[in-house]
Amino acid sequence: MDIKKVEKAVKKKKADFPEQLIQEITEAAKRHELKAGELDELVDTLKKAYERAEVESGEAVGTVAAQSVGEPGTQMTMRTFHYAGVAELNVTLGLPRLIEIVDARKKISTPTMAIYFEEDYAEDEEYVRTLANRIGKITLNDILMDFNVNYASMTLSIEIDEEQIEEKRLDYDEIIKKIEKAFKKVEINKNLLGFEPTISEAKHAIRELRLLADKVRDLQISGIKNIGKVVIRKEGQEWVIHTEGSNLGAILKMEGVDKTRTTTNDIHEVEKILGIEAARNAIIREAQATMEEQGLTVDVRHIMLVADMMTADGTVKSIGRHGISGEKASVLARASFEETGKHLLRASIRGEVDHLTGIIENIIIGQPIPLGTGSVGVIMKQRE
Amino acid sequence: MYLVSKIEDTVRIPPHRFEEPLQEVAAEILNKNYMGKIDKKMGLMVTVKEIEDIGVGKVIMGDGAAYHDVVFTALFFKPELHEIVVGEVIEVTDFGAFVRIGPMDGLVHVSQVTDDYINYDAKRGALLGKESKKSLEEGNHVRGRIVALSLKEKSAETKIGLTMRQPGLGRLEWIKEEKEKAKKKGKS
Amino acid sequence: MTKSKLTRFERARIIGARALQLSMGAKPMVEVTGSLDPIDIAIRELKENVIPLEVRHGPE
Repeated sequence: MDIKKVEKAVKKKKADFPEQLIQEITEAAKRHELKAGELDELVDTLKKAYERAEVESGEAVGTVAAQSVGEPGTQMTMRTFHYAGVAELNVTLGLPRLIEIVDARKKISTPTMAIYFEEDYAEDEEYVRTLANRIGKITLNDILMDFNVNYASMTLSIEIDEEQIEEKRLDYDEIIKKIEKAFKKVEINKNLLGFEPTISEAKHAIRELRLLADKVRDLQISGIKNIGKVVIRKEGQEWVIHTEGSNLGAILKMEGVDKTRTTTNDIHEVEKILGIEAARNAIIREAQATMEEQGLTVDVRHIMLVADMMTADGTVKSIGRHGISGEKASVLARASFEETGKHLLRASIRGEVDHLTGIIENIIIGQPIPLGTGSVGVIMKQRE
Repeated sequence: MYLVSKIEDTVRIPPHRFEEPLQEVAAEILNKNYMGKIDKKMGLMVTVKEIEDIGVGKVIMGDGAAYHDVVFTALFFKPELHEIVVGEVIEVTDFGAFVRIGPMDGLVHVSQVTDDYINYDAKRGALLGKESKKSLEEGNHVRGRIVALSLKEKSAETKIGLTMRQPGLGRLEWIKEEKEKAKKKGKS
Repeated sequence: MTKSKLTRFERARIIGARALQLSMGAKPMVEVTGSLDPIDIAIRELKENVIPLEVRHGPE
């Protein structure tokens, strides 16, 4: 029994099944060695069950979605800062993360990326390590062997560790160039470097020297903006880089990076770099991953509805006062959510009109609501 | 003055009348609702003339009836100031005579019947002119001019004041006499 | 279009509206045998597809 046969049987019954269901039917048919007649019967029964499970027009999908996400939400641990699989990398999870997603925060607390590589590079550890060092933040401090502040002569001398440079796959000349660019008064003698502070006032001399020492140590010699620590992990056969911090635009430009799988958990960045549809997918994926990590399963369709609401306008909007609820067309709907007085006052100043087309408005004024049976208009059949 | 106007409205057809012809039921219900009603602008609605268009019946929540949008023409009676009207005297009292002008009644006050001094004869129920011996009784036909008008929502509250103290006005017989007299005068 | 399957809301609304009409004196479109409950009669009318009501689609 192959998938083509099942597809044909499904088509014959005029059932509109998603691909995944067809695949599952195929597997089941294989497992139980179904005959053609039995398959037809199975498809028939499935079609009935499928159609019964479909949402009908007028169904309160929003309310059901809210309940379906809200109930597992109460089970979530209040504050979890898990080390999500990857040691050393700290990622916000649980309820705080979920809140972060639906609030569409501009600055999320722990941005992180998972960088995948194209087939040719995925198993090439050397290449991945080189790239990881180009991506991750490395300061001069990380490659120092010796660091010496001499208060007598008012100078600073450092010794660069060549082994570290080797290990981190850095380029010595590039480092020197960077140092020269950042500091004017520098003496370079192979691995030994001497710095001299610019002293404007004699009584501040020591302070200036210390400031210089910090500046030297913190000089960034490698890495991409906004990205801090990186962790390299082997997942299955391939090497994957996880980062602390996120810069999708810059990473996607790098050679060898798989543009289809590399992601960030920063939804606004996804929107900026890849567009609104990608942002919608990111919301769905992040929300579901957060729920799943907590051992909670929520049907995707509920989350999809939330993501659709958040992205329907073409920009990512938050749920709540500053987003969806705050931008509703109806005055009464807005007033019923938060800041009642403010909305009513503003509406009266501007002379806003409420057309009473929504649910909330009609509940407030005590009319039947346009939902369920209320959304059905009934007319008399024309008599002959 | 009578006018025909086109009106848009909604008519409620109750379920127990679904079987009857729609147009007729609609006209009947509209007549029941509006006949005798007075509108400041249109005047008094006399009757539905014709239903021009009737939409589909909408059924709203909490009511089994069908609500149809209708466009219909209706006949209105609208008395206008300074309009000349002809009517029949239907009641005579000591203060004047009530004249039926179409669907409404107007009042001719005693002071407005003739230029003559008027006495009220309670036995006959008539108004008599002292000098001219003119009389006005129930059933007489008169021509008058509307000089006072106050249209109210209800027919009973609406007041129309008439006068007959102008040339060519009054009981039809008097007008005829006047004309003959004028003719004679012209000949002689 | 008229013959397409009704959603459960449409069914409920139509049966409800029709039952109310029947209780308000509309003439049943099926022969009334057995139950005199207007809802039962409305359901039978719907089953036999003789209800003189339609679902209105689209806005006002």
